[in-house]
Formats: sequence, structure tokens, C-alpha cells
Amino acid sequence: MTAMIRSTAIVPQLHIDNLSCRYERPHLFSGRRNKTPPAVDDVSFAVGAGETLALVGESGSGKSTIARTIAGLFPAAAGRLRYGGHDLTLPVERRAAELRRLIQIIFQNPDASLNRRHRIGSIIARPLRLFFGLSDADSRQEVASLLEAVRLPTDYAERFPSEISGGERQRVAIARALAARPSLLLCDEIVSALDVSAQATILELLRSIQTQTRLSMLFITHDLAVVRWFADRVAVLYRGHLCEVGPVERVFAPPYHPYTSLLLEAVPVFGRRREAAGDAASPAVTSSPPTTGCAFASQCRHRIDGLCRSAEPPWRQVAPGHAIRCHLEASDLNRITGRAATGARLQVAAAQKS
Amino acid sequence: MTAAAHDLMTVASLTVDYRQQGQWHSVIRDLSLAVRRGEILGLAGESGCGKSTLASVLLGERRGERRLRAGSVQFDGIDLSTLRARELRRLRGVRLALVPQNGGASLTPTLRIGSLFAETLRAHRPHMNKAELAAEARRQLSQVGLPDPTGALARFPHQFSGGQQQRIALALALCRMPDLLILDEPTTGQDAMTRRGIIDLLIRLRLSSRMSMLYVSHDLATLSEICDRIAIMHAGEIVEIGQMEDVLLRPRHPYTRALVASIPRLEAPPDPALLPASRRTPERITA
Amino acid sequence: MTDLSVLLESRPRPAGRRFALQRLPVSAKVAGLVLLAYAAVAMLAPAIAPYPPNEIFVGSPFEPPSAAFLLGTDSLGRDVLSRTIYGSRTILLMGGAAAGLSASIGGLLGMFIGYRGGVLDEVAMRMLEIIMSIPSIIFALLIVGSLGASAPLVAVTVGLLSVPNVARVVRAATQSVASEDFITAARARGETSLSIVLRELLPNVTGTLIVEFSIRTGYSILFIGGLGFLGFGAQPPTADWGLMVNEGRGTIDASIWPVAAPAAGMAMLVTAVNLFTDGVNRLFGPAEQGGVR
Ligand SMILES: Nc1ncnc2c1ncn2[C@@H]1O[C@H](COP(=O)(O)OP(=O)(O)OP(=O)(O)O)[C@@H](O)[C@H]1O
Ligand SMILES: Nc1ncnc2c1ncn2[C@@H]1O[C@H](COP(=O)(O)OP(=O)(O)OP(=O)(O)O)[C@@H](O)[C@H]1O
Ligand code: SF4
Ligand SMILES: [Mg+2]
Ligand SMILES: [Mg+2]
Repeated sequence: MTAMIRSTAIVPQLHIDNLSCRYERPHLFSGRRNKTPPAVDDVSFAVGAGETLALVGESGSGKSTIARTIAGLFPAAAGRLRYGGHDLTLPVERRAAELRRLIQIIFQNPDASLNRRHRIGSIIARPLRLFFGLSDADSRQEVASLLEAVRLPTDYAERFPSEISGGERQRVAIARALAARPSLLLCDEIVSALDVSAQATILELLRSIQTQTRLSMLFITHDLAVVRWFADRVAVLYRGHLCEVGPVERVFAPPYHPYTSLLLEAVPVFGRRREAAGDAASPAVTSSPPTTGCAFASQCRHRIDGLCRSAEPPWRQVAPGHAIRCHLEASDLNRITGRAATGARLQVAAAQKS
Repeated sequence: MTAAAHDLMTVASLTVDYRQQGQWHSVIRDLSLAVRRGEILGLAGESGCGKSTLASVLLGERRGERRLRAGSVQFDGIDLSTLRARELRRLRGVRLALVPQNGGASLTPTLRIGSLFAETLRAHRPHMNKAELAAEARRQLSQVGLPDPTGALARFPHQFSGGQQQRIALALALCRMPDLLILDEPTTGQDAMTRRGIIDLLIRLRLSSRMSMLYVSHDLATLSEICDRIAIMHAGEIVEIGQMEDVLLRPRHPYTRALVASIPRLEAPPDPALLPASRRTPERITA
Repeated sequence: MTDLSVLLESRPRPAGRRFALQRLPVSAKVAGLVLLAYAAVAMLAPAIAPYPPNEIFVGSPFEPPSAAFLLGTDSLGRDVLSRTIYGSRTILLMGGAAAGLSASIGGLLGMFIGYRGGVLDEVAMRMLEIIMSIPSIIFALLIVGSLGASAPLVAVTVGLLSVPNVARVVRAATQSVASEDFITAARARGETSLSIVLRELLPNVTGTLIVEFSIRTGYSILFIGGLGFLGFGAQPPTADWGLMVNEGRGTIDASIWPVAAPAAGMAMLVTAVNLFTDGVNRLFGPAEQGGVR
């Protein structure tokens, strides 16, 4: 199964095989285990050198958990994680310094990931000192060029995180990660706080680093338009389960996994006011996910009664490198979910009208 | 200048400075804006143009490194600068609420979600007993789509995903039922379906309780779904404001035009040539 | 339209910690001035004390206050004023040392166990609780009694006694910071625990540490005074307030001054420290932590 999801075009570098993560650990004294479902359940994918894999999915589906596990900040409950020849199941403390440098993570919330008592300059200089032994004086020039690279004034080095805006903080976090010259960058929602121009700057910067150094990226985001034009491949996650993996141009075209199709439909249509919906359309299903069968069954419009809730759906290879995990055949999916691009089409129409 | 009766929050010729290395720099310049009763006003603009600063000033927050050099901020006819700290706090607790940018970081890390709600609700519904408080908290949490609201009450903020924390911050603001709700990037961390759920929730709330909202976001498509009017901010000034359709579908200011043209779209790759230039001295257009 | 600038600038609010002292309540400011005066007296003791503190029979015993002996003399004819002035040195040095010791050791310990958590935290907390359950005075008397009383030993003992209290408070403050991602980011960079504690955590708990230091100063001063009074503090002929009260109390009928002067000095010092602590707590305490960024 793993082999099928793997892209064949590029030599893979990061391999995640059958990864599971759970948050509740046995209590120290009672040894009692909590019965909550795992946050990440049997997830496999690979990211090649110089490749960008976008990880999309529901809020709370385990995207950050996967990134943290790869960075060695959270233990995997099961599964194999490898990066080149390195074993990534080791916690970050027990990894070689070089590996720690090569894999950099940019956290989701810059307000929490920057120490508010440190100046921006010293925040960015820290990896330079730690990984390259640069003194503060030596690193000053590099800090300045990193700030410029993320389009921030160089005098921001003297400021504290509380003295700059949310989007500016996000860019400081990006600069800090780039300072380590990583070869695998785990980006957790790094452009959502940015306006289009800053977003383009950052994406352009990452892409040029990528072409120069064969940087691999795990790119977590909710912005599907960014995914479409920035990533090479996409993995769609729903409640800890992967449901679709493939090259962007294939994932964004039918056949869709029923969840992917719902997700695409929900992309807002530019310029069209949303009519007051009845409260039927509640934001998310609050019931706990089923323990057997398809994770998406409770919300799926195409559920096959008697099958989906009881049997694990199989992975189906619908195109080279494009796999969907569903009980429905590819041809059925194509027919049923083919209309999901409606939202996108309306978007074109609105744009052309204006 | 008196506020028009249909304006809930009026900002007149506001100039706000920050102190940096002993010098004052103005971040908001001569900005005027009104949030009307019962409307959802969208605010978009470049990163660092002063949107969060404006939100904080609207809330009457006073900070040492900041000064209002000129202009006035009036909420429902009350000039915020004339209020004492305690009166302001009461106003903020009851009639004005903010969902801060990166709301997750604003949740007290040492308090369980249940206690966060108890604290917030106690000020508003003093007669509620414990069970009622918990029930209300659960209702609010499920409204924003948090799975397992009951279990959530006993957990700490850091035990939630980034987007979930943000929704908890939103629920905390909503449970006060303020007259004016300021939302600073409330849906940036949400997937498309959850975002749509929140948008629907806000639209319903606006209809049922005539809550006014100021919705700050970079996401013009989302703004266009929910907002009655939209203001575009650039380098500390409002360069264009008007009905959503006018501003987004028939933009007049060059910055707005560039912003709209360069919206990331699913069906066409971004064109760098369309991107708005950064931080030029803007001219203003008011519809 | 009203111009607000005047209104707002007439009520300037100093920013950041540099100006934190300016925001102390008046009582704490006054207390701070009193403490400064104490420190000045202690430092300048040789210059301002009219007589050497331990020289006997500079006057006759039990002289009442006079121009030559402003606070009279004690049973050995020593100048009470000079001894009281020198006594402030003893108490400030010992109290400060004890508080410094407890704040630094307790602070480090609290940050470490708060950061590491898990089994280490559980074990350390149980041990601290056991230590705290032993009445401090018994503990102190045991140590000082068995090792022999001397000023440095007393200061160290009293300091160590407060370590668990400081550690507990700092641990709690640390825990609320330790779950934040900048700590995770430091781990991801491979920072050592020591560097995480000192570089990342310490700047975020300084407020708590300042408050604890202040509380512990007040506590240590009282405790050391008490030990001195019991004869377990500094030893004769040192000019120590507790000891002076003890020595003078048998002859209080002959003269009240050898007791009253050090007692008053002590009372005012403790009051000042406590008022100052209150003010500092209001600035840096848990309720305000968000506000003093
Ligand atoms: N420390 C924790 N303890 C218990 N559960 C947790 C903890 N952290 C996260 N979770 C749960 O694990 C699930 C996955 O969280 P994760 O942060 O990986 O989600 P995510 O996909 O990054 O979501 P988002 O897009 O909202 O950031 C969520 O349902 C969350 O509630
Ligand atoms: N305390 C401060 N001292 C000095 N300058 C500040 C301070 N806070 C913010 N600024 C500056 O003021 C400008 C506006 O900041 P603000 O947070 O309002 O931006 P924003 O529009 O919300 O941006 P974003 O979309 O990135 O959140 C920024 O350039 C920022 O650097
Ligand atoms: S397996 Fe069944 S429930 Fe799951 S997505 Fe496919 S059709 Fe829907
Ligand atoms: Mg996340
Ligand atoms: Mg902002």
C-alpha cells in the first residue's frame, strides 16, 4: 500500500510508514489508558528531495502532530519514520546535531513560538550561533539579509516580538528556520497570516531556495489556492486518516475523494455574498469518529450503507501516483464528485465579470 | 462632530503613534471609519499596515508605547478616552469584544477551558450556577464546531490544535454577546469547511441579535461572503471603503484593484505582475 | 471633534520594565525609600556611627539619652546608637544573603522541575513537601545547634529553609511558560536544559523571582532576628538586633533604650520590606503578568 502512494517520479527522501500518534499516555501511577482515538492513524507518505508535499485537512485532523513527530518533538506510537539514512523515531534530544539542523519546523502560531523576552535579532541569530558557531557580531550581517529576504526592515532586529505585527512575527519565524539552512522544512500554516504580496514573497523565496538546494517541504496549509500553485503533491487528511494522495493537478481534478470534494466546494466564492444558512449547516460533526470502517462515514454523502461503517476502505490507484481511499470505484467517484469544482468555476465567472 | 445615529463605533481623524527607540512613529494616519449598527464591516490590507493596532485602539486599550496623537474614538456616543480604566474594562467585558489575532496564544495556559468560560460567563450571567455555566460553555463550543465539547472543558488550551484554540477564543468572545465584535483574522487557521461553518454562525448571530462586527482578514473571498461593507487599508490609511460589491467587484483605488486582481485562485496560477506594490503613499477613495 | 492628545498625554503610562518602579503604589515607593535609607546607613556605618560598636565603657552603663549618647548606653557602657547602626549591617547582610540564596537555588530548582516535569517533578515536589512539613524553627535550631551558631551559617540555613517555598511558586510560573512553543523550538534546536532554563525560561519568570526574593527577604529578616534573640544567631559581641534585644531585656528596668532601639529598627525594616513586597507583587504578580510584558 505504501509503495502505491509514493511518487515514482522523484527519489524519495522522507519516508513515513504507517505512522500513528496518540496524545493520551498511560497515567504515571495508575497505568490507566485513555480510550480516545489516535490523533494520527496509520499514515504513510513520502517527500522527495526538492519536492513540496502539501498536507491539507480539517482543523484538528493531526497535521501539526505529524510535523511535530517528524521533528522529533512528539513520540510516534507506531510506524517507521526515516529521512535519508536517519531514523526519525528518535526524539530530537537524541538526534545528531546535523540532523537537527537539516530538519527545521516553523510552528503554526508565531505568537507562541517566539520568546517575547528576546529581540528579533537574537531570535534569528540563535540557530546561526548554535549550528554554525557564528558570534553575534558575525551573524549581524546574515540576520539583516534574512530579514530582507522575508521583506522586513533590517532595524526590526532591535525590536521585541510584541512590537511587530502578526504577519511580521510569522515572517520572523520563517527567517529563523531558514537561518539553519535546512534540507527538510516543515511549514505549519506559514502564509495564512500574510497578505498576497508578502505571501508571494515568501513562496518565491522558498521556491528559489528549493531550486538551489533541493529543499524538501512539508507544507501544511488550509489555503487550497496556495496548495494548487505551490505544491507538487497533496495529501488530504481527515481525523488522523489519509484519504487522498497525489500530484496537485490530479487531486484538484475529478475523481475526488468525497471529503476532498466537500473541502473544495467549501472554498469561498469571491464576490458572492453567502446567504444566511439555516443552522442545519453546523460547522463540524461533534460526534466522536467511528472506530471501524471509513473515518469520514458520518459526514459522507455517498456512504454505502452496510459497508462503509464496518469495513476499512481500500486504497485505489486512480492515476499514476494518485490514490484515493474509498469503497467507491474510481469511475463512481468520477461521476458523483465531478461537480465539486463548481465553486472554483463560479470564481472564474465572478472574476471575468468584474 | 456627532456620531450619526446608525453608527455604533466611530473613528474620526485618528492618528496613532508607536514609540520605537525613543521616537514616535505614526502607524495609523488620519483615519476615519464608522461601524454601523448591525453591519459586518470587513477590513483588509497589507501585513503591518495597522489593522491589529486599529482593533486594539477601538477596544480602548491603552499602552505605554503607544499614543493617540489626534482624533477620537466613540463607541455608541461615548468617547473612549474619557473613560476610566474600570469603566473601560466593564465596557470591554460586556458590550465590546475582541477575538485577537492568533487567538490561541491569548488563552491563559494554566486554566482549563471550563475555567476560562466560567470566568468569562460569571461576569455576564452572575446568577448562573455551575451546571448552567458548563452547559452554556458546551453549547458555545459545539457552535464553533469543537469536537467533544464536554471533554474539552477539562482540558488545557495547549491540548488543542491551533485551529481549535482559535475557535475556543472565538467562542469565549461570542458567549458575551457583545454589541460590537472585533474579529482579527478569526478564520485563517481553519479549513474551508470549518470556516464556512463559522461564517454561517456569524451571519446567524448578526441576524438574530443584530451584533455588529468588524472582520479583519487577508482573505478577500471570505470577506466577500460575509461583509456588508469593506474597507481597504494601506500604510495606515483607509484608501477605499464602500459596499462589498462596489469595493471588490468594481475597485477604484489602484491598491484595491491590485489586491483583487492578485487573489490566489484555484483555476489560474498567480501572476506576479498583478501584485500590489507595497507601501506607496496612497490616495483615498470613498464611495 | 475633540482633540485627545492633551487628555491622553496628561496621563502617560511608562512602558516596559525600565519604568516599572515608577508604577509602584505610593506606599511601596515610600517603603522603597526607607529601604534605601537603611542600606545607606548600613553601608556608611563606620562614617556615621559616633563610637566603635563593640567598645565597652565609652560611657558609664545605662546612661540615658544625651547629646553624647543619643540613645544612651547599655549594661557594658557601649553606645546604643552605634550598635544599632552596625546592627543594620548584620541584619541586612544576613537577610539579603538568605533571600538571595533561597531565590537563586529555589528559582533554579523550580525552573528545572517545572520544565522537565514527569517523574522528576513528582519526586522533587514530594520531597519539597516533606521538607516544608517540618517546622522551620525546629529545623533551624537543629542545624545551628549542632554545627554551632555563626552569622554565615545562620544565613545559609535560613536561606535553604525557604528554598522549597520559592521552588514551588517558580515551578508553577514555569509550567505556564513551558508549554509554549518557543520552548519546543529551543528543544528542536538542541539547546541544553541549562540553556533552556537560563536563556528561555528565566527572562519569562523574572517577575515571579523578584516577588519571591522580596517576600523571602522579609521572612528571613524576621527569622534571623528571632534566632538572634534566642541566642542562635550572630554571637556576642556582634552588634545584632536580635541579640541586643535579648541582652537588654533582663535590665529593661535600668534602661529601655538598649531594647527599644533595635526593636524599633527591626519593626520599621520589616514593615518597609512587606509594603515594598506588596507593591512589587501588584506589578509582577500572577494577576498582572500579562500586563507587564
Ligand atoms: N496536547 C494534546 N493533548 C491532547 N490532545 C491533543 C493535544 N494536542 C492536540 N490534540 C488533539 O489532537 C488532534 C490533532 O491535533 P493537531 O494539532 O495535529 O491538528 P491540526 O491538524 O494541526 O489542526 P489545525 O489545522 O487546527 O492546526 C486534535 O483533535 C487535537 O484536539
Ligand atoms: N509596540 C510596537 N512598537 C512599535 N511598532 C509597533 C508596535 N506594535 C506594532 N508596531 C508596528 O505597527 C505596524 C502595524 O502593526 P499591526 O499589528 O497593527 O499590523 P497589522 O495590520 O495587524 O498586520 P498583520 O496583518 O501582519 O497582522 C507594524 O509595522 C508594526 O511593526
Ligand atoms: S468509504 Fe464510504 S463513507 Fe468513506 S468516503 Fe468512501 S463512500 Fe464515503
Ligand atoms: Mg495545526
Ligand atoms: Mg494583525
